[in-house]
Amino acid sequence: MSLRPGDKVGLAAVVLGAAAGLVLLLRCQPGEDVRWNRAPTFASPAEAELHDLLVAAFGSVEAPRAPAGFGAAGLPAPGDEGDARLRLGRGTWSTQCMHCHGSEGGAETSTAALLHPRPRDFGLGILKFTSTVAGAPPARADIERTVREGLPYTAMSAFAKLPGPALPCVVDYTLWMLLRGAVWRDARERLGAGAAPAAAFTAAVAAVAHAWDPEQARVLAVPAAPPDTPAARARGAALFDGAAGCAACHGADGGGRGPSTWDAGAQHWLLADAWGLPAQPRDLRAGQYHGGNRAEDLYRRIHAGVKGTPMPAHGERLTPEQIWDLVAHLRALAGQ
Amino acid sequence: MSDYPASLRRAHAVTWAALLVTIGLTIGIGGTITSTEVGMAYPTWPDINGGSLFSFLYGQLAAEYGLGSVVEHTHRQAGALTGLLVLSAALLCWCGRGVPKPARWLAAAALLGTIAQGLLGAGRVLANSYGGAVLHGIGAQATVVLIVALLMRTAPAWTGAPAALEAQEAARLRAWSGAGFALLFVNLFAAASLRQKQGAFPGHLVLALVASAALVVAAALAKRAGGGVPRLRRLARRLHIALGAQILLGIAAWLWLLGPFAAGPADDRGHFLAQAVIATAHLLNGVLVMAAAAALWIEARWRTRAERPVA
Repeated sequence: MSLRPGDKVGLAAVVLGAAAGLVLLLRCQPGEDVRWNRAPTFASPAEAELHDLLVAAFGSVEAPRAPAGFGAAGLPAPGDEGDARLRLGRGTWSTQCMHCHGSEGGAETSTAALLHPRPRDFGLGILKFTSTVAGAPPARADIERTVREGLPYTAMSAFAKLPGPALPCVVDYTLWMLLRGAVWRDARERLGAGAAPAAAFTAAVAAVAHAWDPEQARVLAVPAAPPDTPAARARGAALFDGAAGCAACHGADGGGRGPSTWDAGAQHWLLADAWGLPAQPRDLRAGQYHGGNRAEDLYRRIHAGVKGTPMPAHGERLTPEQIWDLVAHLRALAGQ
Repeated sequence: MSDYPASLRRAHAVTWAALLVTIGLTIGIGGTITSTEVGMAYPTWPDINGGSLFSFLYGQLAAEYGLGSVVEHTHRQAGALTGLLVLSAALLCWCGRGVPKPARWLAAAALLGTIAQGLLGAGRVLANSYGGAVLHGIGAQATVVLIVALLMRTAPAWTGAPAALEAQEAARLRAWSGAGFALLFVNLFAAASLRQKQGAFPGHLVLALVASAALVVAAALAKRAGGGVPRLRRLARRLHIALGAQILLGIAAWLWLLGPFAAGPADDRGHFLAQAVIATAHLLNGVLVMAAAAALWIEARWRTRAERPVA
């Protein structure tokens, strides 16, 4: 049984075609996902002018540029090398991050709407879980840890296996997004207060660079944990119901529906976070903390609060010993 | 039909159920996951953060982890149902009387393939690996092919005599249907790579054209050579229809996902839904093309015989 010559030629052609297809598939760069690209809209000509200044300093999201003045915050130095790192970060961002966090970092995608908690909108320059003191912006190490380890019990997965320079570069790019968002927010506020666009932008860059300087955004020192004893848990339980005021939001049972946050009659949440989303206190009985389950993670959450949310910082009101007592109580609530 | 044992009939019925559940539910929902990009709605497996795989409290799940987690959760439940049905078919083949050995081994292979596919899904989630997602996508097609093969091997038609074809026509049909099937599989790798942003569109386009060309030739040969063989004519017709629909869906997918209609108005859920529906329909019809191509190749390879040599 032999094939016709035409069949042999045809089969050879399709095999060659397939080889060419495979080469194209694997050698060409996957194109940027354009589904989430949106033309920016502005409330006024002055805001459009402000945006031009932002682009002049930071570049665009597709062609980012390392701005001057943010080296202390952890951004690459201005120049070709820094720009190349950010562009590499954008490449990783567009394949790994964009479908949740959006092209502009605003988490405006429809995928984001299908997830809870909603992926972070970087437009405010705020991260919820940081190692820094209350009110301070995140350190670069916080971004790197979040990318590397993910956020437990959320759709933010661990990306420790990103190859080569992809991980540090996407951390650079995320930091760039946060700084750009912080500058834009600050400058718009100044513009709203009557400043001229150029003055508003210059002042915003200075203010954000100062706030994000590690000298200002200092890391919270966590003292050594004392032994977790029944007495510590009892003291923590008393604080939870009393002086620390935890029960008002988390409920007396720790279930996350306290009178200050949950309207049992109307069945809805009463408070919102900085992004305008309903603030839902954690169900402490489940022991599933997005900022990490380790004792030091809980210490930091109580001391510095959860940034951008109604969860306040208790570092000024409670002693370190009292915070550790609360941590002991939380772990007992979750059966840990 | 005394040469068609009851156990084989039961296995055939269960395999039909497995195929329908696999394509309609498991792959349908799995395709929706990729189309809406909620594959990592929760990064644990098989449970949701300590919950049960067999929890049906979808409303509670949506409230706690978002609607995306419901899509992912139901995909895993559908996968478990596929596994149970393939396991049932395998047990019927192995424990029933009069089941031919090839059917038994095919059932075992389908079961192993299904288990491996479940583990690939687990690995994709636990390692947060896009490469793993590509493998999981290809594994789904391989599982369908194994189930289709089992379906054909347990069918009453398999007990009849193979169709007689002119020798050269039989050879041509086998060669082109085999090439089309193989190229389609390579193209599915390309499609999975594109969907997981690991491959470039031009590669998928070229492979789709090449595979389509080979399958069009194979279907035309099946129509001609199978003039007196209704099974071959039916398979060829189905393949032509599925392939035509797939080309139209491919054009629509390019227009809405990569081309001029890709970027819709901000916060437009309808636009996103349309994109997800088109992408998922393109994937699901691709599975049907694969099933039809596999069936044609199996039919040509094992259910035809060369009647007389070429003059």
